[in-house]
Amino acid sequence: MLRYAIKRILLMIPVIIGVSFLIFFIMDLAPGDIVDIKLAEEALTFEEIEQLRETYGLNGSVFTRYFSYMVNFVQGDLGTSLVSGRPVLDSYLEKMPATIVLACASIFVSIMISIPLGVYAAMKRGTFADNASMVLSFLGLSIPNFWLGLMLIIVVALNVPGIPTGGFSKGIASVILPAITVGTGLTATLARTTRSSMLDVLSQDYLRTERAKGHKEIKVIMKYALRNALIPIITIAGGQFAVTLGGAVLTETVFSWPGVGRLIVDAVNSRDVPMAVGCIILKSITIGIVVLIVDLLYAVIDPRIKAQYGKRKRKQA
Amino acid sequence: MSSTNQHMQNCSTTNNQSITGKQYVRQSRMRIVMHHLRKNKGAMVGLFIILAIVFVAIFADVIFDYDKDVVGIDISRKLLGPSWEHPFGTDDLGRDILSRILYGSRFSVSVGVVATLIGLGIGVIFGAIAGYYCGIAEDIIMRINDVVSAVPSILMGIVIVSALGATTFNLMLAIGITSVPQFVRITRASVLTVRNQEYIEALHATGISEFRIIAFHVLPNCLSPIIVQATLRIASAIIAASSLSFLGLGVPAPAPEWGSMLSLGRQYVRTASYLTIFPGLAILITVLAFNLLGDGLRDAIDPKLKK
Amino acid sequence: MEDKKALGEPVLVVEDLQVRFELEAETVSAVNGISFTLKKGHTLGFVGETGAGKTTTALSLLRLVPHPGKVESKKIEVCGQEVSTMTTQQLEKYRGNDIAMIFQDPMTSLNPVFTVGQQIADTILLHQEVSSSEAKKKAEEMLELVGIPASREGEYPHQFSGGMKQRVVIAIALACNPEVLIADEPTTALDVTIQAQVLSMMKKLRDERQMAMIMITHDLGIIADVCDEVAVMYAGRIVETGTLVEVFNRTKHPYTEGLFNSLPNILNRSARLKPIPGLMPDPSNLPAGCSFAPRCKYAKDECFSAQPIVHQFSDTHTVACSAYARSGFAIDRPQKK
Repeated sequence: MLRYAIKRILLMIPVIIGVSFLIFFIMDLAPGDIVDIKLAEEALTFEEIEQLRETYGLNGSVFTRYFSYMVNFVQGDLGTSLVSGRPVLDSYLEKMPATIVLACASIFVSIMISIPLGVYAAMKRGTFADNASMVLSFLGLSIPNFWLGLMLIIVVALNVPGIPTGGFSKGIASVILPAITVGTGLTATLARTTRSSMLDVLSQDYLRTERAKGHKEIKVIMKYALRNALIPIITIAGGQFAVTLGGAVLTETVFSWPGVGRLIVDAVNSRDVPMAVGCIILKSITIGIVVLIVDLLYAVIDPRIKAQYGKRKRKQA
Repeated sequence: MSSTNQHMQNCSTTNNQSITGKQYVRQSRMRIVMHHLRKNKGAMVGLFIILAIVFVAIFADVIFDYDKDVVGIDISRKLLGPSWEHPFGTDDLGRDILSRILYGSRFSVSVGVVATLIGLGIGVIFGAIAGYYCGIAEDIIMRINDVVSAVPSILMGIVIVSALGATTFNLMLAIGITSVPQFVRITRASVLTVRNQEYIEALHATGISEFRIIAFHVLPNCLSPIIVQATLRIASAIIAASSLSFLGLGVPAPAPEWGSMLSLGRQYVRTASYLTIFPGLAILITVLAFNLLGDGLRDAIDPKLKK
Repeated sequence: MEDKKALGEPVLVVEDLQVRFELEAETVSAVNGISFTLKKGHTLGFVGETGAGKTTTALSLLRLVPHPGKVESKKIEVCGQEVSTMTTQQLEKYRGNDIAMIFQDPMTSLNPVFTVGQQIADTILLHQEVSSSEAKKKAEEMLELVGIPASREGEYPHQFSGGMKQRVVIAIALACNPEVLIADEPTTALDVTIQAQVLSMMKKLRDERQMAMIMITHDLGIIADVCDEVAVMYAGRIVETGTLVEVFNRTKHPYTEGLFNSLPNILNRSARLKPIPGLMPDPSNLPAGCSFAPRCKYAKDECFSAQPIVHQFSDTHTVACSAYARSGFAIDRPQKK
């Protein structure tokens, strides 16, 4: 399994190279660079402009610039921000805690709600409760989450004292609304996945075996059925968690949340190429690693998948 | 010689039979799908809402005077709350929110549909190539696909729009590009299964060109998952468009795009919450309608999934 | 059940069992009023075509008939307890402990994400006051009992072959030493050689533990090998029941005769097979008279209009066929001693 993990990490390298080039290239298409933005703010002589371009490494073709960027990248240097002058990696790591808190809180909220809801809907298939929970999940899927955030501010934050409209300074109280905002869409997706996955499992013969043993129905469902239904659920949950961990751009904007998402948006808007490319690479790596961990989790849940990983290992050896 | 002739004849008859046979099947399948769809209340509600929105979008020009009602500035009536005259209130420049929302359906629906068509067009072509010709072409396409899908779509959208400039077309293009990977994956998967069917092998024996085989025999049999995906994709494209506009990266002002109206509403969250409530509801209802229709279509096309 | 019955006493009494599946468009009558008694240490075989209602009968003994099945009966008594009025708690104690079932397809009957040891220990923990380590030890003993090395306790179902899986299923069923064991086509999914192994193992365990057993199968060979008594089922009814010798050697019902005639005869390989013509009637639309009449070569007009008359040939041998009301009627199959 370790070999499998290593192989997967190695396979990530070409993808990361591709991503970095893609972003580098697209941002190069933009008319105007950081120097032009500075030019608009203050008058500069021709020599000064040339010198600025030189120091920022803006001369030369996109390929030579990309190449020198990657040479530094391989040596662990992600460059420095053209705006703040600080190292990209430092800025990124500084914003990580807020993003991690938000990602964990939102995934927690949605798992606690969606799995019981999905299981219940599957058990009561076709009843009013099932239909009602599926209509709710449809609403959750269709709600634009930045609007949900704004509505939560209007309805909750402006009326309930102690709940701030934004920021990360008031402890748990400041996490609640952003977590609900990010968690709603996730809850909806997860509830639907749980329901359909449980419906597949509920018709399986082995549950009849469990019932014939004399297990309580609730135990049959929550232990013996759910464990079999878990793979698609954690696939979706893991994927969404990964994306949030890379920065929930809109929610962070709405709640002035000091996370990675806003860092990237600001960098793109100010043509801060090293910052934007660096952050997006780091984000893709984060997502790739979380997805890999989820894949490895499969093996813990389902012994058949573990056996498959083992087989691949043997084939390689 | 005569035996070859006979052989050719045989082939052409089988070919004809297979074509007419397929058309017959497709027609009756269409009827079955429509039958299932009609029974699905959610899908019919969704379809009805979509038709209503499209109606409004088409006749928005007739209903409103764009220059006066939608972008006309009248400071004397700025930030009025909902009233009989302005059911949804007015914004900071005194523009009527209701007429802006109704007119805004043009942007949301057209961006959603065009972006999806762009994604669909590119995705289906490359997906079909990847699925039909294994080997290097497939490898290259799928690796590029991995790269594009490794960047979260909202970020990809932000990067593309900010690089190309905030115009309606660039918005469509950006959202279209971010939806390509999904279409590639779905098309490839279904082409892979269809390609190995015996009737495709039989077509090869008749000597029709590969292009004709892909375009007229393989793809039509892969359509259903692609159609379902496209309908659901319109919903997420509408959300993506309003998200980008909300961040200031979409349809340029003063056009009444729902996302940018929300961006304005955000500044008045404390004092004029109606600026935020109504455009958001408009997005929610539109997206909900496409989701309901897409979900209903999926159930209708593949009743097995409904279990 | 605490008061263990003596050999030969009835442990299972079923009277007038009916199972219907009420669907939107139609009502499927799967089981239509069957009665039987099973004695301790005896094995009753249910034989019949697919769809005759054998499995549904078995499931209703455990009250596991799937939704929307409706079960009605005058009596379903297992070890002196009435099953149809049990509360949920009583049912949970009863299933797996007093009665256990071996399911048809071992490939799908085991939970893929738990080890076989866990799945056996599970039942033991549920019904006996033992610690989990004791349960694990007992599970290992059960594995040895069914011929699987105890060391494989920690393996998962996908690591076992079909025959091994069926052995595990049997171990689960026997783990709590049930009074009644239902085996629903336990060997249908297995290779012939494995079939023989599994059957002889089941016979051995049954004799050691003096269990009452219901063997459901469509294979007359298995019936002859394993059973003491036989019930022939057709379209949700028992058409002929008796001891093994009575049903096999003194066959009375035309359907039973048809079953025997469908078997190839190894002693006379040039003889033509005589399959029963036609198909079993649609259980959602059963004929008014005898269900078998449309396929019966002896059928007369009255067979199509009235339910068959039950004839008692001995204390144990009962046949539901109106033809025996006609004097001198006999089926073509020769009667042996």
